[in-house]
Amino acid sequence: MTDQIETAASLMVRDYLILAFLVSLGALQIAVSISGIRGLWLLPNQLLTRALGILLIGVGITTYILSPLWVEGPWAAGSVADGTSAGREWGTATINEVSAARNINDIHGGMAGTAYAIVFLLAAVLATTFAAILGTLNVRISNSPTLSRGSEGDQHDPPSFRRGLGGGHNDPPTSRKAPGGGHNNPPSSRKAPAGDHNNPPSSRKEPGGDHNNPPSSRRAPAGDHNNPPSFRRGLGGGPTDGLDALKHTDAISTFASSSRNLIRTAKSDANEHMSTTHLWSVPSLIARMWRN
Amino acid sequence: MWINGFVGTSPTFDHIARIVASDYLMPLAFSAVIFAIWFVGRNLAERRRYQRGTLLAATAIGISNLIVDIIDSAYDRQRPFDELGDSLQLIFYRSTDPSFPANPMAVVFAIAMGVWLVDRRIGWTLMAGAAIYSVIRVYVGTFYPTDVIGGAVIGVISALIAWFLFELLKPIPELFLRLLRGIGIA
Repeated sequence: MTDQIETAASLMVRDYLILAFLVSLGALQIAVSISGIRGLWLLPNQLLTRALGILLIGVGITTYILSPLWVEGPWAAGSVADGTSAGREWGTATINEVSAARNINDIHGGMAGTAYAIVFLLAAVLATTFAAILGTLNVRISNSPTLSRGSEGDQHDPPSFRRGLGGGHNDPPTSRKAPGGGHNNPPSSRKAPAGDHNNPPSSRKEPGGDHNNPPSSRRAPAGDHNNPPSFRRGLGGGPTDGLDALKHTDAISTFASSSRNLIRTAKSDANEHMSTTHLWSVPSLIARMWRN
Repeated sequence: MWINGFVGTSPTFDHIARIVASDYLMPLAFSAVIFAIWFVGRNLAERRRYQRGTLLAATAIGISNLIVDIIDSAYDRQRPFDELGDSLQLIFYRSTDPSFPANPMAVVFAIAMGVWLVDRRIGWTLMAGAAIYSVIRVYVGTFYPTDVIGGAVIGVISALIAWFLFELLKPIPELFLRLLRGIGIA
């Protein structure tokens, strides 16, 4: 009996993980199709991405509810009764029992509330990772010269997106001109990636399209020639950092350059902190007192 | 138990009720919504607002569970199927934890209220979903109406507590979001 409960519990966890993964992935696709975060799209088209999201949610829930019809579990025909989940037998359910088949108390092999929460979190992380990997491939494929020519008519593709991605650091100079350009950007802002030492100072200020940011947030910190321009402006401060960057580049490039940027910023912050805090250390206070 | 008295009137509705009342469907739907709104903002300001909503809802879930645990340890109300016996038509399994307050309702209302604080439209939709979930849970016989009302109140209060905490400790969630943005996931 204990063995059956354990087997039932592992079956429930596995099935719920698949359900939560499909639903999370579907919800993610709908969300990123609304926000335009192309780096997480599974398909190259916005409407198709949204339709895929709805389809994934529908398929996930339907499969989860109906699978007792063909998957053996603690819901054998005749053993699923209202009012209790004890005494279930192993087998497949009938259509009349399918609605109650997965309603199992956690002491009889079902899942506890905490288990649901943990499995959902795991599924959400997996779904995001999956979307990031497939989105990267999708972006790089659709960014290849032949395919990008074919999708010129797609109004959802900002020009910079088609150019900037796949190339990364080895792009010729022309392809580096447009890292932050959406439809709202003035042409001048597309020419100047922030922090690029080859550009005149005036062009360093405005790489992206968010006009709500104060000028200070648009300024470029020390230019890192290995990072895409949108990540040279510091931790989370710029309009094309974070998920915004995924509108223009792919997830793997974003994560790599963001992590480098984070470490560099943290190091410079720490150095700056150390260089100022020593003024208030005990020896320096004594020294200043002595001098005075 | 007037609501539960309708059980058996429509077998099709009973099947739907068993699925809607389940532990997996509605909590998953609500969780998927707070996961999705993390990514849904079209610009930086909108995304910050929605991501704050996700953090608010998650914090509210934690607070509501804490409150429910405290009440459960102090007051063990029996389930309606234990008290009413055969006069109740139970079409769900026999839960073994205390009936008041309804933990699932506390969780879904905490999420709904947490989202409502940043987006009224999505928040009202979730509130409606949470209300349907509550009625269905009473319909299948696992809770008294006062259990689900108590759970809903705890959920709403938890979200408000979370909101006050966020206002009080504003730099912390902001820093957290900035950090996540720094590594490209916010």
